[in-house]
Amino acid sequence: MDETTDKALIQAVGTANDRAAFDALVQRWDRRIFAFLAKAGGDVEAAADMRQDVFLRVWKYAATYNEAYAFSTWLYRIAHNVLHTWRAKRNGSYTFPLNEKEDTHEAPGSYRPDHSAITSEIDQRVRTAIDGFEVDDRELLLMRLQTEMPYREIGEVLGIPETTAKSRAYKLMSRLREQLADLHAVARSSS
Amino acid sequence: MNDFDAKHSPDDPLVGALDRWANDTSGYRPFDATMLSTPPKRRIARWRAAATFAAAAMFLFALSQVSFTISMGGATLQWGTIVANESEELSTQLAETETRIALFEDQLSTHVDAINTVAAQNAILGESLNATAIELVQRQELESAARIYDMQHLAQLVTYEQ
Repeated sequence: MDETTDKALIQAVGTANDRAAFDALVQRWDRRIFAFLAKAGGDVEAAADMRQDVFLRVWKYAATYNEAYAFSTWLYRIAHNVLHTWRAKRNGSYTFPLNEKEDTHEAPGSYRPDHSAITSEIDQRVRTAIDGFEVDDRELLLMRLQTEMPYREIGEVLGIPETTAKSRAYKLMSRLREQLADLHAVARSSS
Repeated sequence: MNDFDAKHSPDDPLVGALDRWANDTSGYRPFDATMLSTPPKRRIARWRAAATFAAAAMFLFALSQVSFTISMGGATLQWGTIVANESEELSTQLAETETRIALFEDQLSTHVDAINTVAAQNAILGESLNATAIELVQRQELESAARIYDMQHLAQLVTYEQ
């Protein structure tokens, strides 16, 4: 569904406590928000709890949603706040257990780690490289990759200007390319 | 597709790995909707906010016009205007002054007793002095009479020898 429908759903929640509208929003955004929190925060178990907190806030504060902004911007802003509150409580310590192959509810079509060993190696190296990024940088990449969110909205979520968000994205890509310069050679070895 | 794909080849292994990383939902568990026990907060109507504000202002104004004291156990809560507080302060000072006056009266009565005692002693001393003076006069009179008698007796003896 498109963004207008998201707005209509959240307004239905805010004005009429429409549970069906809320469930529709959860179904649409739950996996992305979970992945966003897990990848940016680096803790799957904590991501599950944080995701609960995010959608509880959506339910509780739906009436405060400002339709001048995209729903995704509002939602990711909530997720961003929840994530940083959680990190502050953890004193900034960071783990990245997502490399463990735990999978309980795989979605149809989602990535399955039973690809070739080469693909697994590439993914592992990319994840390790991203592991060294700051949380805000991982959030930026996730918002752009998951929802193709415009840099203006990414900037609103992270509290930075649009131009800063844009230049930071390209710097991150350049950094990854430098660190993983031999990925093409690794990929070719599998073909 | 995102700009990373647009800028780089779709076959770029980095772009593919990033997409898989961003959309990987390993460890995903569905949202637990049973936690939605509390209803969402509704937007507060402006007239309700204004009425609440007015009621709070009136309550505060009314509260500023009265004074009262509530005592619970050892704790005392006092509420009142500045005038009421000053009046209470003056009452306290008046009570303290009354206490001091009573104390002075006690001390004065003690001093009056002492003065009375001294006066009584003075009176006794005066009476004693008066009695002594009378006795002295009487003795002088007796002595004078005795001298007169002695002189007369001596004169008779001289005359008798002549």
